[in-house]
Amino acid sequence: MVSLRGLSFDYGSKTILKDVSLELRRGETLMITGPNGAGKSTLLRLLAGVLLPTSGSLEYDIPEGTDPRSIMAYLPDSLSFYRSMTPEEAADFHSGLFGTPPADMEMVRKAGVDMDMPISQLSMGQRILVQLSIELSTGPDLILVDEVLHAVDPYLRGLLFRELIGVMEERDPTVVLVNLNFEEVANLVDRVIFLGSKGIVIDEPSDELRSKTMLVVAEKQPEGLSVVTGRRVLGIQQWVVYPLHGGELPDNASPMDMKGILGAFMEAEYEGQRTGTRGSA
Amino acid sequence: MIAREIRETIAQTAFVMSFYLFVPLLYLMDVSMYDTGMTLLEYMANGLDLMVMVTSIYLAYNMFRREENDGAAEYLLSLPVSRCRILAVKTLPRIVMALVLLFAAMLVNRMSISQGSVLGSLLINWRAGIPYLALMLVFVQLGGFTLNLVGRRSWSTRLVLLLMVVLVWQSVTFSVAVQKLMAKTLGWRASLRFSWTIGRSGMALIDFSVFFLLLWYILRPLMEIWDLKPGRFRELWFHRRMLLPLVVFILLMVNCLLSPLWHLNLFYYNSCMF
Repeated sequence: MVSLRGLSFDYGSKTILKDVSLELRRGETLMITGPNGAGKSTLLRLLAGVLLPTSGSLEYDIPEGTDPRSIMAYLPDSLSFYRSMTPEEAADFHSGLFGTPPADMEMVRKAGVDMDMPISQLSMGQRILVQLSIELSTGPDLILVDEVLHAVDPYLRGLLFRELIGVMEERDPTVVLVNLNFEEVANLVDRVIFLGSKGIVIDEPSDELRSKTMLVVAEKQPEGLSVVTGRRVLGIQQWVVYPLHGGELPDNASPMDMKGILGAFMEAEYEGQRTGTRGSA
Repeated sequence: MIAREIRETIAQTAFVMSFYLFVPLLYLMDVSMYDTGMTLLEYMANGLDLMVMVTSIYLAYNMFRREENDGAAEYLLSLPVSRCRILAVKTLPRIVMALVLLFAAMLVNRMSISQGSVLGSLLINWRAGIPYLALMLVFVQLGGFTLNLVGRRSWSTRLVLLLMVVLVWQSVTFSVAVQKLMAKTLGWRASLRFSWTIGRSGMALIDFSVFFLLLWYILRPLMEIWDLKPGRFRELWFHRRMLLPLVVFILLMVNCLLSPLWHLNLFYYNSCMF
């Protein structure tokens, strides 16, 4: 669907992304996670075409001459939109540019949004719902959502996911979610990308990542295993190991949930930044 | 998209033109203190001439005000709309509006007893004709688009573009250089015949073909690099890119000031106008 080849982006002398290569396949749902400042939102903006790469290329598997932005729905963390418009005006404006019928806004009405009120006067959750409904109404093949969903109350979040899942069932688009909370999107995500300060640290199907990462309790660092991070919890020394190749797992090795796995990588990343070395993964 | 820009243009024009309502008041104050010898209509005509320029600059400066106020820049860039289309959608309604105002100013000037001229009121350089003024209004809008792409709060960009507009408005011409070149190669007679043949409109076209080329030299690549990066990156880029056009503008200005032809024509124009 989209190929990123050697993509780099910098703000003057400050490098945000360096030599990132990635394949986004049709129909898969990816979660991009990582510490603050790793370049998750920048990567999403490059995919959306609102930032231009310093070097490298993005290739979209679409007919020649098609504007890649015409197959996308993009929900940035800035919630950039014409906020002085009412939801209906914004829907008409958006659909006019995509040549599609305006969003029916059923979910938006269900959420009790005043359709005659400018978007700027709606609550944050309502604004996200309005924008997502409008963005999804064009039948996108690529959906890009930055970390905005956590700012929404559970009821509205439920409506948002229903809206998103509806489109996923109907069109099987590629979905890229930038998220720090895996549990929130656990049932949707096929693949996890962990972006560290020096590039992609993990790029794995979520099931494989779960099966490959283990927690080992031992006083000494396990030999022959790649250790992500080590920590002492309530006086017990724990080691998170990934990927599992070579070395023999001790009997007390136990699987971890995704929250724990990503937390370990996050810990390793911050530890690496603090000590000036890369995380042990 | 265009409908929204038309509404925006009308609203912005209405805002600036509301100040025009104060012109009769100024007239009353003026005549109570001085013997201007002007009728209200003449006064209104002069005021409207000035409003053409003020409104045009205001529209150009505020071209992306809605995006700025709404925080819609990222949304705009994510839409499947080419940069050229954005240029067209943003500038065309404003150019049309400026031309409508120019036409209205011409009408009011005709109606006024002294039958003054919008060109005279605006102290346009000797080469000016209505096509020159119309092309200048287009130049102002393209300059405004350039400014907004760099970031309209950039002082250096504002100054450079304003300088270009003022030079185009008042003193710079390229056709003088053409006339001089023709005089040197083909003789003065041929040069003058050329000037008479093409007339002011033709000269305005020659002048603006160069002015637009210089602005396009900045604008075209600027549209390609325009993205969500902070404005200071485009500002630095602009600083490098503007050097050549600015040098050409200054050379043209020096050429005009040193040219006896320019002074001769300026004298002729002024004596006709006033």
